Amino acid sequence: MTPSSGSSDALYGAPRPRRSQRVWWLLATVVVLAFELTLLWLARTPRVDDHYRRYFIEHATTCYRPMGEVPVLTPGERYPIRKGEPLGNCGVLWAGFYSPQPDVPVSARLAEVTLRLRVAPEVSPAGSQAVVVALELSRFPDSAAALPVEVMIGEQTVTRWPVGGRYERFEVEVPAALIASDGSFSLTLKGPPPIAPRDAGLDANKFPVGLRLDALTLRSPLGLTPARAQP
Amino acid sequence: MNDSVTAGPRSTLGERLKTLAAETPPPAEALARAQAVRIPWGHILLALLVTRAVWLAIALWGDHSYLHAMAQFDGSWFKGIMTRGYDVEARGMSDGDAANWAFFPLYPALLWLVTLGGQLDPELMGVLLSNALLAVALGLGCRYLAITRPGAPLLLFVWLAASMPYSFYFSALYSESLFWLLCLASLIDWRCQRTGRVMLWTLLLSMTRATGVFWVIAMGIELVARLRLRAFAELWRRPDWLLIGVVGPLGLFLFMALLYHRTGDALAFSHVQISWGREMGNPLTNLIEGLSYWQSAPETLRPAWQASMALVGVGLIGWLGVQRRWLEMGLAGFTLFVPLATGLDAIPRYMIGMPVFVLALHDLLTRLPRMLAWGLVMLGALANLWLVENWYDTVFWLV
Repeated sequence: MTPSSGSSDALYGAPRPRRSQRVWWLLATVVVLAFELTLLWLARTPRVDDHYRRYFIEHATTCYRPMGEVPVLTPGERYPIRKGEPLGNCGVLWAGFYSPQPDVPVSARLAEVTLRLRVAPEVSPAGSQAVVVALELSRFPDSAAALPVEVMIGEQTVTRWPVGGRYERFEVEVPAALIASDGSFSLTLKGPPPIAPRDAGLDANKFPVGLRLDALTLRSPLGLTPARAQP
Repeated sequence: MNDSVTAGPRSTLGERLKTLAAETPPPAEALARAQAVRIPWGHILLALLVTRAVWLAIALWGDHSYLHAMAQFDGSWFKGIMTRGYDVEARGMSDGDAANWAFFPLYPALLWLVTLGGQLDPELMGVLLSNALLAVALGLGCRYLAITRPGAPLLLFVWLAASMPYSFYFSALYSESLFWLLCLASLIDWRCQRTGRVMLWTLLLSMTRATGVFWVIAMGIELVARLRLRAFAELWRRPDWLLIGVVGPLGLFLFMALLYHRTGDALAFSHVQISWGREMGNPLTNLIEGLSYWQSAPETLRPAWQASMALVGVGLIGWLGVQRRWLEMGLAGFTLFVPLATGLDAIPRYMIGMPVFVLALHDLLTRLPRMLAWGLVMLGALANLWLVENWYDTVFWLV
């Protein structure tokens, strides 16, 4: 700073700028500040697509875009729904589920979440036989009263479950007519609106949590679960 | 300003703490000290040559490529920015959700310059660039020590910074050494009240790393701690301080403008952190959870170790506070707690990347007997060799 005729500051010792200099400093401050405020305003209104917004900004889904193969499910096998597990990949979980860490249950961050699943050919050859999907579900917060969750296969509503506790097991039969010829089908859960732990007064986490999905098991409608099935 | 008070024979704890308060010279005195100090350039070069030669020998002995190892992890992101610029959309890493928006532009811009626009080998030039920046930073560190800690052993500082655990980051294609240089330059010029230069350095700081923005906040903390409420009135009389306050973060805002132009999201540098599993949370919760691993799962060393390092950082922040080095304390506090709020990963690197932590460590070492202090520096240098070996083996907890 250019020394000037101003009096010295007791602690910082440097001479203060003259009045005419001060005007220029203040003007420069206003200009820079105006630029920064403009950027902040632009930051509030990003020009991004829906995938970007839901993944990067709202943290509403596990995956940025659907990636990878949907794995073929073996009857009787209990599949944990976790990042890093076969049913935790971006091909299955991209629509509304969230799980940032491998050891954290997958949570629904939207009221409506969809799993993309596929059965083995021998379970439903060319979509000719129904299958039963069992889900282990919780609802956040743990003390929440049970509320109905609508279960849809594709576009069709097939049942409603009262979900409110922890690690409750629910089963739904997927009619053969709703299974595609390659064995694939989508299972959608429409639950109550998720709530942020911060809004529930639990911790500072501002991202909403709804249903928590812990594991999924597949079996035939006849109940002939293979011996290696785990509870 | 001299905050020192002589302790009487029946001094209370408060009075004893006051005896630890550091003396801060007025700008004229600071300038005189800065000009009078003889910077040990020979020792700086010797320390860099010796330590880097040992690291190179370890690489050769283990059949590693030294240059390739120094350009891994974040280094490869910087190289990508240098050659391709900033990504238009995320597509990197296994989930296809990573992009180079988290890496600030000044270091890759320098890399582009020293490779003559990418014509020279970026790994070789990057290693040379980082070490050259560190050499200048160590010179500035000696100057800053002479201003704020007259009589402090400069050689101890030089060898400590050149060889301590995690110091290999200063040789890598990382922005740590550039950050050191700019941070120390702005600290020196702030003490000398050369405010025009402070504006330039802090602008470049916030263009180097996100933590550069905290400089002006820490400056505000010092002003309030020294001047109390008068600080706000003083801003009207000292509009150059006000201008530092808005020019300091300008580097970040310019980067935001670039990102808005490329991606449509001015905050992409922050939003993309989710790709590395970073989400804003409670720093104390993260710290306590990390420390609890010592008891619940000591075999899970990574979070426990990183939380322990964060605890050391908290201690060093407290030590700076006891010495009433308000600006340094503010810088250290923000540098530790903001990243800690997003998780424990890379906490040791955040700490070593901020020179005030090393200054605080140096302050402690200078209170020990000389031989013990040098012995600890040697011990740290040996521990660093183990980290270097792990770095060459690309262990992920050193990212």
